[in-house]
Amino acid sequence: MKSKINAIVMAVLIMGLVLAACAPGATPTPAPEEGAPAQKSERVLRMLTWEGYAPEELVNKFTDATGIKVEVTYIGDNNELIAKMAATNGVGYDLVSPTLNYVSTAQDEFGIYQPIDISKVKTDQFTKAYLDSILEQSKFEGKSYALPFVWGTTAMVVNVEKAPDAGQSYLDLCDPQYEGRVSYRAKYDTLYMFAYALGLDPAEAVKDEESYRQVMNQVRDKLIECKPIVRTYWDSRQQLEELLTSEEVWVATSWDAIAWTLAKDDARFKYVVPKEGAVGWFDTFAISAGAEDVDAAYEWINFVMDPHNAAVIVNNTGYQTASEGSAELASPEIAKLVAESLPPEKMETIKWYFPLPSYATDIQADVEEQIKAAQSK
Amino acid sequence: MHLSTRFRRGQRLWLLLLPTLLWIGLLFVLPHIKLFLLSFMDRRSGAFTLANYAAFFNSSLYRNVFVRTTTFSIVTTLLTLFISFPAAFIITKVLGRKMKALALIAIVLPYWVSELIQAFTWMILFRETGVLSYLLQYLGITHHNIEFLYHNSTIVVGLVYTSLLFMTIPIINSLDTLDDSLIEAAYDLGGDFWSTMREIIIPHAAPGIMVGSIMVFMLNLGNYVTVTLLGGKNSLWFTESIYNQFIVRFNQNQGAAFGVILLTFSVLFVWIVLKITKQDLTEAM
Repeated sequence: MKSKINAIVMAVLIMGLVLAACAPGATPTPAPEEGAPAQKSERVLRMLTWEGYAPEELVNKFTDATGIKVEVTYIGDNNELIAKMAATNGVGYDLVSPTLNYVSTAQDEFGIYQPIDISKVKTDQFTKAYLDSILEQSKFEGKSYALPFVWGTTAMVVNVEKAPDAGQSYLDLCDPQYEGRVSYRAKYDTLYMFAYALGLDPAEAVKDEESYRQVMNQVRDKLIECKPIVRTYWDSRQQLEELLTSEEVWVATSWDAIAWTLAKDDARFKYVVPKEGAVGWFDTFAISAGAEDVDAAYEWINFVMDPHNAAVIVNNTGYQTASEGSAELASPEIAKLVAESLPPEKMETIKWYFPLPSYATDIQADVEEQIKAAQSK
Repeated sequence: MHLSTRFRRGQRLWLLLLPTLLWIGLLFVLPHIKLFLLSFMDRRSGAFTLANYAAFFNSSLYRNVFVRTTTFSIVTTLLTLFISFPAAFIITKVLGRKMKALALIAIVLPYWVSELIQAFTWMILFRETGVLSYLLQYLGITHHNIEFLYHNSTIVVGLVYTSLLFMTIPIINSLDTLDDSLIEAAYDLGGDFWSTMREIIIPHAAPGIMVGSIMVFMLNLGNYVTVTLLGGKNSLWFTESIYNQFIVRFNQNQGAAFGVILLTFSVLFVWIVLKITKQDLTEAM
């Protein structure tokens, strides 16, 4: 009898242990002890960011200078970031790097960030235009929730030997003379490009559900009409690079960093910004609502935005940063390509990603699926 | 004395089952209960609703994708069967001991690499500038590059390949128990190859064929990696729609409803096929 009870108790215990280990939010995040909150030697900064945004070189330098240890968790996309943060109301992370257009909507829906305290930021390290613009665009109920960090654009990459005339307009992606030699993503960035190319203004239309659906449906019809032209929808950097270097594809949409990296070693490829302008994104710094060491987060921001440090990130990722002067300190080859494809007049035509209300995400996803499900030759 | 030792032994046996029970309970039953509950909840309020299911049945897009996915899975399962059965037959009835072991190893070996790597390998072979296209030109069969990738048929090839093992092994198992003398007797009694196959061999192998087909059908229906990598611009698979609901749209409830629909349908389908073919699941397994 006794052994039977023992066995049951053991079973329950094991079950409980396993359950506890599996339960969300029960990941061991030791709360700081009441008595000794911020001993210099024990300070830890926990970051949720993209690969390449916190390279080991900088992390070590930062820890040496400040004594603050850094723990980095990488994310694959913005929804993953929001899901991780929303699960614990931000507890477990101090500093995160969401893309700008997700900041105010996520704040509205989940309240996972805290307002930026601009007095703690070395503002003179930032390119002023970016700083002002991001503080303004990340506003929710009158408070700013994000600082500019890394930016990039999406436009077209062209094989200049095979398709020397391509790249004037995004509609070249639909030109029958390039049939089977075109690739783009069946994703929102392509939807925006075609919307602008069709003379529509998605950034304005997004403010109203019905008008946004109308705009996106027009884009969908165009993209379904263009489906016989496209070879395949690419969805990873490696896939696009293979399609381009094998010359299976001559004209494609591309993130600037992919195109510049290719162009640096291979004169066949060129990053081209068509007349509608590149589509641009901005990854930001945002402070978690559940941050345990807010000061450490600001120390990291001020440290990373030093142009010498930001240059390391530029070299690491191929993207540009909001740190004034970092581009010149990074690779001169890439800086030259950047200046060539994005001269000041092209910079002005960049169409920045706009904040997405939740209905807009759904409309885009609807359209993306309808495009992928449509049958063509 | 005897009884109590037996009792204790029974108890220990129960303990031995514990890992399996935990595994099934925590990783299968619990998540599916959660999935089931989620599928009946409103995305925002969490209140009871059937809207997630209505969304599936009201959308021609999701219905079409679902039907396409199912059709492809059935076609793939049949193709796999046609390739696997002769192979299993030869391995069990024709080859000698040594060759049999070699053949078995040859079947299992490709599964030592993951499905992802298999898919990438197919991409290298099939792409326009890939191995197959090059080979055809080298042999003079064609004079320009041919794209084999990104077609619906590419998906079928990939799926058949990834499921061959799961069809062949059960059939080998069931054919192994078929006494060779029965086949000889069939021939002695005037049967030819086809009638022996029809009257003796296939009925005996039926449970193995059933198990294999069920496994392969389920695996194909739920496949994600092979389909998204090899498929082209026209190949939206139902699992991708589920992924989109969870990850892109952030709509767990809709995704859960799709998951429940997929699970219910595949169980129902297997049940119907078992009924039609008059097979018993307990016997088949």
